[in-house]
Amino acid sequence: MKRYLSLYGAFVRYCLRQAVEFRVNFWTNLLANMGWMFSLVVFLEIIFRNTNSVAGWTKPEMFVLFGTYSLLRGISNTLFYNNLSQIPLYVRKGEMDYILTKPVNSQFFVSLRYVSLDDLGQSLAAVFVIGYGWLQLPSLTPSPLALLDFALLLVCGLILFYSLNMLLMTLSFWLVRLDNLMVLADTVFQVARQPVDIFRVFGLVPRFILTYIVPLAFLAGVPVRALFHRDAAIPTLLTAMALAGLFFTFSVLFWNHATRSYSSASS
Amino acid sequence: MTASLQAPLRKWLQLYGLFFQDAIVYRANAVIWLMTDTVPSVLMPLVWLASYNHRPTIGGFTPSQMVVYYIVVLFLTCAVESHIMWDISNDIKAGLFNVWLTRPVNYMAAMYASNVSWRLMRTVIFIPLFFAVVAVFHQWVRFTPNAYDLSWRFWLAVVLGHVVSFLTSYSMGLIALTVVEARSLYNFYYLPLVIFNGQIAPLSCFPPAIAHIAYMLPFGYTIAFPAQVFLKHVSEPMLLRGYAMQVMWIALAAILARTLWRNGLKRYTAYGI
Repeated sequence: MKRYLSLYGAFVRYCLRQAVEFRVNFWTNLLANMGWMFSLVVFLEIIFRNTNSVAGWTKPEMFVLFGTYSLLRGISNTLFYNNLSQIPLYVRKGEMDYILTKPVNSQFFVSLRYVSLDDLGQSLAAVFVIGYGWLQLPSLTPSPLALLDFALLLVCGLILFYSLNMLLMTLSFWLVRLDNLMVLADTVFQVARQPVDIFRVFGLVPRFILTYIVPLAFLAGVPVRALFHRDAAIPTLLTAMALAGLFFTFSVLFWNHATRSYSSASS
Repeated sequence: MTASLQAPLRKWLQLYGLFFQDAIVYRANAVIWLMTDTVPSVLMPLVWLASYNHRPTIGGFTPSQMVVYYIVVLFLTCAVESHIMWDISNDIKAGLFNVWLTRPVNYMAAMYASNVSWRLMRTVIFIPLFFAVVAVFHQWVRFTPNAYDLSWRFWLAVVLGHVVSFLTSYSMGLIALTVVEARSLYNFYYLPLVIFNGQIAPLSCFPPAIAHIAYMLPFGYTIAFPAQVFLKHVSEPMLLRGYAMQVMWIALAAILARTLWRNGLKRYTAYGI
């Protein structure tokens, strides 16, 4: 364990050394993200200009949800994006052989090799959106316990974010020609930006699937709901932890299966 | 076909063919890219449906009309919205623009050919996704013959909007002849575009001031206006005014393109590349 921690430290130091590039990329990244998020903020503003609640979610709740999802995405991008999105490339170009021969757990290496500090801009923009949402309801003062619960649920959300991403990217061992599986992941994850209750017009099944089968609801929706409504806190937290553990295990099992049945690029 | 027509026609068909092939190479990835446009088109109507809370209309749109609005917008985004400025600025930056100057082909016509093949490819590939979205929202789509305007009124608005979009993005592309880092300027084009062209929400849901601005800019006439015509949300006088504005913006954009071309070419050739 210690060995892996020190190895990760080395990864971070190496990335920090790209300091000059970092400054420029950081600002362009931040501006690009603010632009993208701006259009989504406009959408929510238009919605709430015309109504008071979306599937029972009020304006502050919706904005905090949007900000929380973006924060989760920002953290995930910083830690995992540059790495997971390269997996199809590694497989296609044969670099995966090289990675598999290293004396380190290949999943650890493939997931955490590069830290994308440029993407911190997205997390920063997300914090602004959360702040904006909170400003809509200044009376909301969560207790330390509620904040802890929120943080724990977010950690579960992050683990789920990683696991679902990893499960999808591992498919590139078989779907070698699809370069932009990561784009597909990004696209599907957008669903987590909205409360899963909006799917209730289609009945109970889609909502169930998005909560327990592909638990997008647990990424940001459940943590934010817990912040505003303190009922059923313990069962929710336990479910979140169970799902996070379960899907992380799936990702490890699937990755091991993929690397075992992987016939190298050069035979 | 007379001999005098054959050669230029063949030239144009070959050009179209080349551009089309170029676009098709990306087909496997293209399906995934198309999904990035489709998922918001499913999510946004769902958010609206969850917002009605027993109101009959929002912004003059019933729930059914609101859902269909986003489906039409999805179609129009494929068929109308031009992004030719990226191709043009790429060519200029890579020094490939000179090649175009030596070819016996009108540059704007060539870029229009490229644009048409992209629009066609996107629309064609989009068709199955279009049916998928309609199937998902079938409860809200009216399948009666008079529910929507599919007459020449709608198609005229689409064609005019298509030309407006092409000429504006063509002009944006030509800016790269004068300004080296034109590509960073394009974000300043896309941000108002996304706000004012009606793809986020129908303009009638916006604060009136914003909608008013949208109708003064070309953006309001590429997607928002045709979509409203489709949903029969446009009165006869408004329809005529809409066409007039589209024609006006076509003229303005054409003049802008011509000016940028003349000035840009002078500047470009002065660097003696």
